[in-house]
Amino acid sequence: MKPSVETHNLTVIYDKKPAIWNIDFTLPTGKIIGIMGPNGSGKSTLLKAIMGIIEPNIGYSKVFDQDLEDVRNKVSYVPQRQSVDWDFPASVWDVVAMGRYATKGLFKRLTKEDHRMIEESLSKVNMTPFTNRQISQLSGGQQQRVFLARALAQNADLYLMDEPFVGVDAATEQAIITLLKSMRDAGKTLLVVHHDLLTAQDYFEHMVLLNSRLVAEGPTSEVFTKDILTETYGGTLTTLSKVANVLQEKDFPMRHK
Amino acid sequence: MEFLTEIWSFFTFSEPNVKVVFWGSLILCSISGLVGTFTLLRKRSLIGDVISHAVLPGIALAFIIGQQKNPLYLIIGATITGWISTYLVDYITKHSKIKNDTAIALILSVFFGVGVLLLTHIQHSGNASQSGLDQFIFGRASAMNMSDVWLFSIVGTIITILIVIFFRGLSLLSFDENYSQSIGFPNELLKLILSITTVTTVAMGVQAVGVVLMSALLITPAACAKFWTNKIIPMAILALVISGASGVLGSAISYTYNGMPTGPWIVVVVSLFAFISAFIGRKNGLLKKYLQRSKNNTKILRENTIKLFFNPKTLGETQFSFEDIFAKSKMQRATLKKGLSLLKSDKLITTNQGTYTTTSLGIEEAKTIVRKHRLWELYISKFMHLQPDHVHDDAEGIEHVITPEIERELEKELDFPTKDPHDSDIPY
Amino acid sequence: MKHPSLIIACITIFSFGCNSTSSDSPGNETPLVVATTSIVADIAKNICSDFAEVKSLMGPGVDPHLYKASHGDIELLTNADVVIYNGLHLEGKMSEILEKLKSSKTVIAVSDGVDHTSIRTINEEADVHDPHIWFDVSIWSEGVKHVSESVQTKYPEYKDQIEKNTNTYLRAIDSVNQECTKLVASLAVEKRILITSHDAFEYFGRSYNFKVRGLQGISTLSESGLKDVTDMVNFIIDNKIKAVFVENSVPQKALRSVIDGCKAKGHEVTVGGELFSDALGADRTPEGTYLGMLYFNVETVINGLN
Repeated sequence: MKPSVETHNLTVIYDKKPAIWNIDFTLPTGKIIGIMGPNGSGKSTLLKAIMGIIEPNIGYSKVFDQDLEDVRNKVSYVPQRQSVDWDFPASVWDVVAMGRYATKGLFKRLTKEDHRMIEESLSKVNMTPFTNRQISQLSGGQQQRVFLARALAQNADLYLMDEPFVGVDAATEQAIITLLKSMRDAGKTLLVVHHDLLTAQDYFEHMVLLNSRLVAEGPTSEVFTKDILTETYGGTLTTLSKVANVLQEKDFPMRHK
Repeated sequence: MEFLTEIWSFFTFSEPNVKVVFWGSLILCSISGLVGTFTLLRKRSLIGDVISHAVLPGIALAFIIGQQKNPLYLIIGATITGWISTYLVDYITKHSKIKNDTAIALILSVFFGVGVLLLTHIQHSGNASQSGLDQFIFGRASAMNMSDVWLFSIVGTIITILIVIFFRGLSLLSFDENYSQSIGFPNELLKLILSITTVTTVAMGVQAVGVVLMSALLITPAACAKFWTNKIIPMAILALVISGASGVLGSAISYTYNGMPTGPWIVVVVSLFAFISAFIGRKNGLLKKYLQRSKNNTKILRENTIKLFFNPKTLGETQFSFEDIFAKSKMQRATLKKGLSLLKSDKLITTNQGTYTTTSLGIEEAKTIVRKHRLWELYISKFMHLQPDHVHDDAEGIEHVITPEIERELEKELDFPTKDPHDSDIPY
Repeated sequence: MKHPSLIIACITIFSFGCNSTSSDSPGNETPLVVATTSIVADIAKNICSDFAEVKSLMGPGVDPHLYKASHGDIELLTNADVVIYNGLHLEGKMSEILEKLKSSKTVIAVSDGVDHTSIRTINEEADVHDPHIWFDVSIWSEGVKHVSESVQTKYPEYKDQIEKNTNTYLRAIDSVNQECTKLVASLAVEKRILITSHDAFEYFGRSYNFKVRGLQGISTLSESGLKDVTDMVNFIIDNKIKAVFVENSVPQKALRSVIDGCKAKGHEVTVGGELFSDALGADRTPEGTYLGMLYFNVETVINGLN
């Protein structure tokens, strides 16, 4: 069974300190996988590194056993909702259409088929009545659904989502998780950065627990234990953070050539 | 009157120099508005200011090295230092503890300072008849010649073509850089295109409006366009049109009297457009908000006044003198008078020697508003679990907001009730 | 750092010692005369150079209207014994410095020697006058006399020399003026219209009976607007002027756009030559002296318009 995402010694350094350190895991396909950890534990960074938005300083990742470049059309990224200025002059339709640019590239025009896919994505997230609405006039939950529709329009096999449930009303959250589950049932793999421990067990069958380093990874039933959660959320490893501080202050390289 | 004749003679190209300045400012300013749209959307307006100031040392250096004021060399010099300045701002922000706005202030002042230094040096060296570089600080549009205009046209066309071709990528980059990267768009190339077109536009534009005012010409048209449209393509086109029009109008105004500088007038015109748009613009305009609020207040006054005429016993016609209705209401005298005249002009009441009587239209209207009030009271007492004595104030406000559709939904949801929380009848 | 206080003391004394520039012993050093423009410096060179060192702030081709004094200039002015400037705000951006210097040294304005009624007033209330007085030889000579007298007051020991030099200078000025007048006579009166980049030549026009018109005003600080350009184009066409003149210290672009405008309207007008307006030419050329400059200008204008 081909893994969905694999990482090897994945390390990203910000301002001379590692944000994620030596992340090593292999994730299955066809599951909803949660990535969780305390604030600043590098969850967004991990997604961005896998997505190629940030270059890892050390290590690498593979998607479906290949380099990201070769399978880009199979991977879809849903950024954090607040990473974008929603005051931008665009309609709901315009944003979802961006999902088709992944295959169309910079220049190719959108075809009837593309239009159909956009409409279909909009209806899957129940945003069809808002198709021509300005994105500045949307609520938080509606904005998140637009992002989701954009990702759906890409028709990918792997979806990386950064905190899709933040600032979203309960009804929308329900709708989204239902949609994700149906996507999973259709064979898609979903990697979701999440913040709420209370819903984690319900949403995710597989989990990655992160605190700058990998604390645990595996089926939820195995890793969602008191000990592991304590280790994840109970503060940083003091020695590890001391080493990180020395790296930063003295400007040491992490690896030698 | 003379002002108008001069404007007329400007637009009829009665003078060849006028024709040159007309085309030169039209092209320069239009390009500036187009390129500035992306600067604004990417929230890099301050960078526009940095570039404007940073072109000065490039122009001075080009002159010192080339020893002649060939406009092409000067534009190349300006483009180089302009581009270096943006690169430095980004580099410093990324690789040091210095924040973006500090880096901007730093680079802007350093580059401008070096520019002034070099200019002063040139001034002292006595090559004044060949330099005239001082004019770059405030622009000298009136001295444009045909070769300038040709240069602007060619470069302007290239810039426009680039932007049109890459419009999709540039828009996505401006909206969601992370997503753009994730779908494999060539972000570095797109950023390079934007920065080169911006810097070149500034390098050309400073000849008309000068270094100090250039950033206004870059940003203001796009900011103005945002008050009229919520779509990116119309916004870019509108910004181009507004800035081009400002270029032409500013030049025209500067033509009406002797000794008037063209560059500053262009900036005054475009700023005026922006102020007016902020006020009357279709999207987010202040005037629109004011008018809507005024409309709301009129509706509220009308409904509150007719409410006073509601007859709970007969649900029919009522008649009051002014003092009686005034005693009943909680309004000020003047407000009540205004409300009554509103009702009269809407034919909801008639007046006869100081007495006000409801018409059949008025009776219906009063019943409707009371019904809405009581339905709402019932709704919130049921679904918000409020006590009967807590629902009145809320309903006082909301009764004006309930549309006929909402009213029908309320009736359905409450199962066509007959009594409100105070046990009064709901009039149908 | 063994004895920090001692080291600091040494450094302080050392730097004080090195700062001894202008505190000289009186009388022994050669007097330093600093002039602002090259035209004013010409006076100083002719009158004082046998006993004083003469330096000019602005070199050939430098525009005095825009000139900002550099740090080196201020040092030079501070060390000077005598400072000579044109006056009437020609050195527009140096007025504060010149005012400050008046309290501590001999500062002479050439324009102070000129009868107020001879000076062209632009705006009485704002105290704006045309400063280009060197183009009217008669009033410039008055200014020269004033400078001479002031210097004599400061250096009475050199009185005779100064007077002798002044008289020689004035005679030379007079003779060049006569040559110029002869030259001018060869040009018909109706052809005597002089167009230049800025209004520097009104006094010239007064002296030699020329109609004069500049694109910019009396200072190069003011920008010429689009209307000024088109008005000039029409003036040239209406008066059938065949040549206009650029200036060595002023950018040419504006005047060239006037020429283009005339061409577009079917009237050929060329650049008759480059005149020296606010500054002299390069050193060791004939135009590097006041007399040479005067004659060159007249010759260029007459040849250009004939």
